[in-house]
Amino acid sequence: MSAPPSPEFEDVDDLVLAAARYHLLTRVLPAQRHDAMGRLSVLRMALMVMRRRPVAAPGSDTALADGGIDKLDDYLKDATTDLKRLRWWDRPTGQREAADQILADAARLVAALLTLRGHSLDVDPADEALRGLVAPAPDTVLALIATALQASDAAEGRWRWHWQARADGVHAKAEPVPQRDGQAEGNLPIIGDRLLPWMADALVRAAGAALDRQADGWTLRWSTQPAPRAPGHA
Amino acid sequence: MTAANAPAHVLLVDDDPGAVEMLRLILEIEGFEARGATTLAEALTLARGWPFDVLLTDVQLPDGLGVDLATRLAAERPALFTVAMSGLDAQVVRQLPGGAALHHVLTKPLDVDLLLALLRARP
Repeated sequence: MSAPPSPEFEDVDDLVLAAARYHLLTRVLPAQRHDAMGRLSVLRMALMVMRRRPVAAPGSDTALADGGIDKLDDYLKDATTDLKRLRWWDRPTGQREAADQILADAARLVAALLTLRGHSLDVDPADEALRGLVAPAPDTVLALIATALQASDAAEGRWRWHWQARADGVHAKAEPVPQRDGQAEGNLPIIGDRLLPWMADALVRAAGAALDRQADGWTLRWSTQPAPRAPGHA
Repeated sequence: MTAANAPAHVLLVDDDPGAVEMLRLILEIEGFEARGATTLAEALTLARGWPFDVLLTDVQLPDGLGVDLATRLAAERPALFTVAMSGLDAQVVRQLPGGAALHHVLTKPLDVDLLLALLRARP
């Protein structure tokens, strides 16, 4: 006898979306962890240096020591920001958020992963037309990530991705990066992405968006609307 | 003098200049000679004119994988001692082409005492 489905999941689409959310977390997390661990690694090494070579010893270069401490402070701030950003995954679904914030979140979450696989991502500054628009969150962010991953997984070699966001959607184009002499291929393997195209389509539907796939990119036509006016706003 | 007590000449490669600088300082404090690079291409240039015997490399570099760098340099220097360091899981690194041939894979945050012990005990 099989257990009844959890009342939390009203239909199959909800199950697919929950699976997609988890799947993307497992894809994105290693890159986020990689960056955070790199910063923590430097912090630990710096402490080791300070223990073994006291910075305030007579005759030591205090400007150099101050510079080192500033650098440590920057690393600590970045590591803290990395950890705080993990809260993104705790956000409730079914809300609307500023379109430019959605674009920034998606680019941030996917960029580290693309870099780890030898690709790069440039994002145009948000178009003025995005100002005052909102779109479903976090589904639109997840739809953008899933679509970007699906496209980059299929790309052989190194690619430079370029995102341009307008009121009607996010347009992504890719161009191959020519391999320089002495440069290695450098793509990390992809683990378990058989279901990603299916999940990407489910997320696009959940975000109320539409996806056009092209030979050299894709366009996600997102479902934007004007942001509601704040209470008391004239 | 045996390799175990000879000071190692370490080529260290990490895309983060801060990590390169800190590691270089630690290795020098501990009696090693170290030179650093932040890209695969820079490491290859540095390798041409310097008789190093240890490669300590990050896995993901801006212009390629540290594992590829290790494979290429080890082909030119069969006695090269290769250590990769990564924020990724060590098993993932081992599964990369050439990953199984690395002498050691260390995960970040780096256990520097372990690294120093490995360098001192290298064959």
